[in-house]
Amino acid sequence: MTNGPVLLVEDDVSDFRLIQRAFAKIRPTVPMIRLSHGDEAVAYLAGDAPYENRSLHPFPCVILLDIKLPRRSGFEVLEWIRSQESTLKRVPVIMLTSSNHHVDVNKAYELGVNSYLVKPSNNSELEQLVSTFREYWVELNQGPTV
Amino acid sequence: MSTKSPISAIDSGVGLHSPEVFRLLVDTVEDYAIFLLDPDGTVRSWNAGAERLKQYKADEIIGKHFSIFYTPHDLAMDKPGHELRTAGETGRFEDEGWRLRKDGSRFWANVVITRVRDENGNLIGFGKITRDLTDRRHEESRFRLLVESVLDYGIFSMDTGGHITSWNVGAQRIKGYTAEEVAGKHFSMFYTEEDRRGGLPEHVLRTATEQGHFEGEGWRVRKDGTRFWASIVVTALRDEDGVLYGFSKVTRDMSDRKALLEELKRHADELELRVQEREQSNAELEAFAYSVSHDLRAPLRAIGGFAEALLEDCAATLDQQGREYLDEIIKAVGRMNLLVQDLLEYGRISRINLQSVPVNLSDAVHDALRQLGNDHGGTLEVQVAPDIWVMAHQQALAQVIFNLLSNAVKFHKKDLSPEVTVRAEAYNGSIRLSVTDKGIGIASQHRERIWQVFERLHDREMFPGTGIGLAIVKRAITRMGGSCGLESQVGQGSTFWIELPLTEPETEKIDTND
Amino acid sequence: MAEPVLPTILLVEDTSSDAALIRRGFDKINVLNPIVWVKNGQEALAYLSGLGQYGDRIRYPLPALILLDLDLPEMTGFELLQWKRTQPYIRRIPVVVLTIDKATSAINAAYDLGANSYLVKPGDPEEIMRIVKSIQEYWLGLNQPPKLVLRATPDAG
Repeated sequence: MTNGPVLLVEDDVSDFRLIQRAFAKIRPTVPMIRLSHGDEAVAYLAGDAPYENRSLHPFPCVILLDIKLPRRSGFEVLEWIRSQESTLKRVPVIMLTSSNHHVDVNKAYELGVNSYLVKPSNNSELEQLVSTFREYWVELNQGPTV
Repeated sequence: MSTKSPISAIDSGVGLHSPEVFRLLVDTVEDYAIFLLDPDGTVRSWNAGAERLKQYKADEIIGKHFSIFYTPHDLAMDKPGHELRTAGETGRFEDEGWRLRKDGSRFWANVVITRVRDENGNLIGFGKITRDLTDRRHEESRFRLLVESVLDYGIFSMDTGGHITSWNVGAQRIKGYTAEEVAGKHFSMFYTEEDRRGGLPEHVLRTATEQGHFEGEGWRVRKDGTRFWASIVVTALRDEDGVLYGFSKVTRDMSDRKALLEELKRHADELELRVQEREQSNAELEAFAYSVSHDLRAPLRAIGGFAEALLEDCAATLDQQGREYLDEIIKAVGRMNLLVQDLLEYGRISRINLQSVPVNLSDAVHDALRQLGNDHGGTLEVQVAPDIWVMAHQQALAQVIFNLLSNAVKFHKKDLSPEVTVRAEAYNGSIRLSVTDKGIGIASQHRERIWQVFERLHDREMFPGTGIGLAIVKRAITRMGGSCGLESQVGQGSTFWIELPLTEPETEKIDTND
Repeated sequence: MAEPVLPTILLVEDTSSDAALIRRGFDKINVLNPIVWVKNGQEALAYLSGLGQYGDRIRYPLPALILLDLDLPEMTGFELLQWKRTQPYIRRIPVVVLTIDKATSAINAAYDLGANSYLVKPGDPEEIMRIVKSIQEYWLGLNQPPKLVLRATPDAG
């Protein structure tokens, strides 16, 4: 069981709201941090301003990362994470994106993504995804110390 | 001219070897022109044969230069001089060629010129014997005229040293030189500087001498200095004893052909470039298509997602009407999603490289069946032998069969569960896979339309669908080099079929190590 | 459109009883995917490289998922992970570590070497069922696998 919040990096407001709603439905609740663009994500993970206070801005135990993000794409964020010297490079990253194009999928794995999930087209599937995600990555998986 | 017969001379007691007897011999011969020339070619004697042959009387010709017997063409080539020189150097010259009579008419002559030397070896003149071969040469003369007049081929002859001894119109046309300009010159003058330095002319003659002929292609130079691509054949000319007496050369200007070849290559290169561009634009199109489909899907997720959320979370505040409206919204979103998916698939099928390889038909059918699942509640009978292989793209074929099966189970009669049969048969070197249903059937006027994109025959209430399924089938099958069609009867059912080339399975490599 | 062929799972496990339990687990939940079982890291390397008999990619296709025990003879799970991340195409294949060791050092080391996930093998056979089900639901159901070159012809050695 891993503690710590899930970091969701998602720029689309509608997608975010629906994902948040799906997470809100599961018990026990999983704390979630939402950021909407790549630079923000990097700053958060690096602990740069305004995210220096780790008690206010805890490091996530797993990251859900969209590909299409303003300022820095999901791939660039992933690349940044995996190139870090510190232990933060180990954090499990899961792509959550609308693209199921094999080029994107392969690129994600090449860059070191842990898993790749495609955003489903309806709510029930989304709820199923969130539930399965939670059961696997939050309950079952042994996360690294970051 | 004495008319004494040789016999009478002998009777008169003169010896057989005496000059008088030889003189009589020569004088009376009528079939051959036998006469003497002094070293510079002036006629010094004349005989009966010469008079008969050339029409000149002795007093008309003695003291004149023997070149008077030659055609202007030969004079231009300085043939007389060449013959004397050859005879002077080698002792003998023999030739066949045209000669002129006094009245200007031509006759075909066989000519032998012999060097005459005194006891000390000094040249004192030449003996010339000419024989009229006109009769024999009629056919050959026609041939000669042909050669002379050929425009497309340069045909000329050379002596054993490679000096030009004849020239035709074609040679003039191709190389630009007149006969006068090339007479006696060495044929290497037509070669490029590099080839001359490389010894190519010598090589050509050597090869022709050793092997009988030389064939090749290469650059040659015209009088004006321009180059042309030539195809040449040089043949060694030998007499009955096999002695080499010269060469003939046939030259053809291949510039046009070379230009054509170069043009072809340019076309091929351009095509290559176009293919690369097309591949690149295909890749761009693909990226674009994906981008579009995902950008279309995002708002759909929102519309559908919030409609569902509304239905669920705000159920209390919604009346029946409100719930129904939301249901419609949700259904519409579902349709749109399918549409985007199918459009993407159609675009992909049209664009991707569908390389056909041997594919097991039964495997493809079962893949499609697995994808179909069992929810349709109908019966599916499969009569496809396990060892049939067709030339196809594996995934595209599975998609095609899935689309056909999906249709077959969908368009069943009301209240009757679908009954579908899948069959494979050989059909003129192809394999025909038929999917037969006992469904509602298709009227004949619609049988062409249904293969088109977005064509649907029924309202969505009865039969959901995007109207792209069959368009995908047709596109994919056509691109794989096959064909598709349907047979149907309204109220009875339909058979949709696809045909693909029959093939053998790929021989699998099984490593025999371990 | 599903992949035409059900993807293969490569199980790298030296303890045969554990392997049997895992395979039984998959069987019970009707997982039809072919499961290839190898007993050590070297064998797993051979499989992934297509060496020897494994060169027949029709009979031995590249797996879509690797379940990896860490404590292996001949070549440990760590060594296999290390080798795997240097191999083109193969390095994309998700690896779920399924091992007894729950020490943080082992967990961290595995992630550092590119493991996608780390699961601790439970003592209880019932728990194994739960894990297998979770693996199936997540990795065979939800997760989008990488697209490998089918029938990749390997380099010799």
